[in-house]
Amino acid sequence: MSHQSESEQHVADKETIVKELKKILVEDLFVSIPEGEIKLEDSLSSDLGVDSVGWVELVTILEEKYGIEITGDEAASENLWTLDRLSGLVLAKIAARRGERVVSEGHG
Amino acid sequence: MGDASARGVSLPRVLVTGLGSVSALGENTAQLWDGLLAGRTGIKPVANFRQEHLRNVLAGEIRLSAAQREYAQRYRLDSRIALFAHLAIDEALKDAAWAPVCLQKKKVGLVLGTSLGMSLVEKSIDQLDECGGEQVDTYDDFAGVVEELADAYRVSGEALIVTTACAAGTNAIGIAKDMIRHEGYEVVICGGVDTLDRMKYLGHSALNTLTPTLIRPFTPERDGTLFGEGAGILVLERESLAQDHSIYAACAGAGYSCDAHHITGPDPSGAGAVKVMGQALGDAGIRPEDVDHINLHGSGTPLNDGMEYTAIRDLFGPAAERIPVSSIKPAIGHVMGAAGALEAIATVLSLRDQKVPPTLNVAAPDPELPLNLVCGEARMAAIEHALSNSFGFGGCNGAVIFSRVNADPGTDP
Amino acid sequence: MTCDIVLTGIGLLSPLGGKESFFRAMGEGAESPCRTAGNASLPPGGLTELLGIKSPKLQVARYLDPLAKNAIVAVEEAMRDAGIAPQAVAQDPYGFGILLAATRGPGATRDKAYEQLRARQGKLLSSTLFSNFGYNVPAATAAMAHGIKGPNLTVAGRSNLSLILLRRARQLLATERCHTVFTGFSESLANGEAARPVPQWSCIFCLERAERARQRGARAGVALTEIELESPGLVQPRSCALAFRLPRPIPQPLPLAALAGAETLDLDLGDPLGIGPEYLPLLQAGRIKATERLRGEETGYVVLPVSSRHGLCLLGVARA
Repeated sequence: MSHQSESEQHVADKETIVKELKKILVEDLFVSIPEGEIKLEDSLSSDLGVDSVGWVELVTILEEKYGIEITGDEAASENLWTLDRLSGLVLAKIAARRGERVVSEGHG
Repeated sequence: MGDASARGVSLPRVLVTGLGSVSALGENTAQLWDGLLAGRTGIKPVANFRQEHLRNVLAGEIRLSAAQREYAQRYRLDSRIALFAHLAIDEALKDAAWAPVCLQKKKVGLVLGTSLGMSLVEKSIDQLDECGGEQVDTYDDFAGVVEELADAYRVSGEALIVTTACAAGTNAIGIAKDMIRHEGYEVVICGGVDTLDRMKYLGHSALNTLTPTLIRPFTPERDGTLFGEGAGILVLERESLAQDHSIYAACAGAGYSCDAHHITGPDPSGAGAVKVMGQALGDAGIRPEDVDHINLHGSGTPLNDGMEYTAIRDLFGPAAERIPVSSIKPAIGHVMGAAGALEAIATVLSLRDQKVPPTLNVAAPDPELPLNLVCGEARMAAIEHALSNSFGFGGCNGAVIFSRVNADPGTDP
Repeated sequence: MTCDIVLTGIGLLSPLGGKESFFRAMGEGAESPCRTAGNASLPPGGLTELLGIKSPKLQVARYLDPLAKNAIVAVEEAMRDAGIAPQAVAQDPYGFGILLAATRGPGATRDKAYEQLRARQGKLLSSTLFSNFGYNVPAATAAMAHGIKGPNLTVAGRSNLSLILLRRARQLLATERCHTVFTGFSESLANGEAARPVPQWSCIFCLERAERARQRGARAGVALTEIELESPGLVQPRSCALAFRLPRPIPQPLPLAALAGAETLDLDLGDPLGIGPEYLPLLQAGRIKATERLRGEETGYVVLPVSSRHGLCLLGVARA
């Protein structure tokens, strides 16, 4: 088994991803609501105040941290994103990337 | 406009009598202008700081020549920003035939624009990576920069730095013009200076302002800008003082406004831009249809170009599709605090030579932004009045108008 | 330029508190009550947080540099003090401008960005912090918070920066680029380890064209006039004292409120800028000149010496 990168070692369950996202929102994006008070259904833009500048940074941080890619189209319209929806996207991307790895390893 | 004209006292005209510049296209103004007219590019991969983690490694970087390094040593200049300023001021004063010792007897001012200066890196001529140490001083000593320049050039009047981001150079020229026109100054050295460093490029990489390819203003493919460095200096003089042989143009009008919209993005309605251009026109006493050329802010970001088009269309109406316009940012980069000054220099030279430089990297202009964009080759044009725009971070806007000295004064003397 | 300028409002945040407590403390000769022991105990929100100032205007952006917050609040107070309602600005946004002076600018935000960059192994600079780095950020954010769309300038200079600020404000007003300018500064000193007063300040003057102030029925303000002395001999470099401390408390009631009749009130500030004995005759001459110039016009004045290396300027303040 090849060495797993940090991003591949992420526990891919919703609860952990949500917790990690909250931490990123507070520490890296300066959301002023404490982590414990951020709710899943909070809108990133209107409830948490993540503006267009913050959104670009959030996407970059997520791509780097989880080894995933979020396309321009997928990332469009930051005002449609809730924490719930975003964590769902991250989970799906991680799973898709792992699915690809499993397939490619099968060709060994 | 203003009290003096209301009292029937005529205010002195302000003339441009000297130009000096250092840019990615060359060590002086002749090289800059030749390069712009020939459609050359000064954009190249950065060599002065590390390239990793940058969204684009291309920039309007200046690679110091042996002569420039020797100049820095000779005058004991240990900072890149001071070096660029000195080089450009030297050239401009020589061009205007002003020796500093003669300036000492006049009422002289100094007004320079910059964005961050060297706030994010250690002061040096060419060490432009981020600071490694734990304790970093993250501000530039602008008081020291001003002090040193005012001493070197015997400026006994007011000396200041304008720090309105990308509008700083244009704002500085406006302030300088008004110091002569309204405050009794005789000569004001004005313009802008700025330097590239890794922190600025990391910041713009994170902010997505950088194009992954090249600056393509007013095209459908436009997707960001690239930055440059250097200095642009204009010597402005009261008309009664100026020698006929060294007059380039009149600095006729300036405008200021603020979008008050977003800390980095412009107000897409273009209202702030309309206001700033309109105020400059009013200051110059000319109508929109009197403008024969616009040197665009033209940074090539999707947000700016759309907004700039909207504002030009709204203010100039039918003339918008006729007036030849151009952006020089693809050639030298967006030079931040010096952009307005270098672009003013290009505007002044367009007036002198009756020629508009081409906007590089434009295969076909965006049909959604129908302006008369000069691209491909430089174009001859009959220019009596020309406008230069700058729209900065924070929504700070600047506009300045230059006119041919024997130009028709327009509707309002 | 002969445009009459009046000061109609002041907004102030300081280590001594807001405007009322500041002037009271100055009058009593009191020391700053707001002290912190180094960086650690300064609240992240800076002075506004320490002073317990909450304003809805502070919601304009998610992250605000402390200097931006202080500027927003000080402009708000200056507006209120001048009797300018937010609706007046909303109806005429281009008629109002902001002009601030900068020295260190948002240094704390830049420091934080460096710290965060290191934590991210030099890979990613925070775009939020980068957007809030610039020297024009306090002025631009104050404009956003209050919808002020006229000229927005931030300037830096040397020892006579306050004078530059007032002259540039006067230029904007005299050239009719706006009729009201909120001018002043929002600044900080670097936070060292030693216990010291909270090193953030903001002071905003509301300056207007006198005729506009009269037309809108503003309460009587203070006219600003400048008397500049030509002093060709003063080309020797001189270092001014870094800290400007009044030698004794300002007498109560405050001079501005006390100006009345033909009596002049000479505060005799001594030599607070550490100018040196050779300059004092010039100061004396300046005072006399000020008296001659203003006698016959209304009431009294306060003369404040403001020096630059190349000359001495006296800023005269007279009741309008």
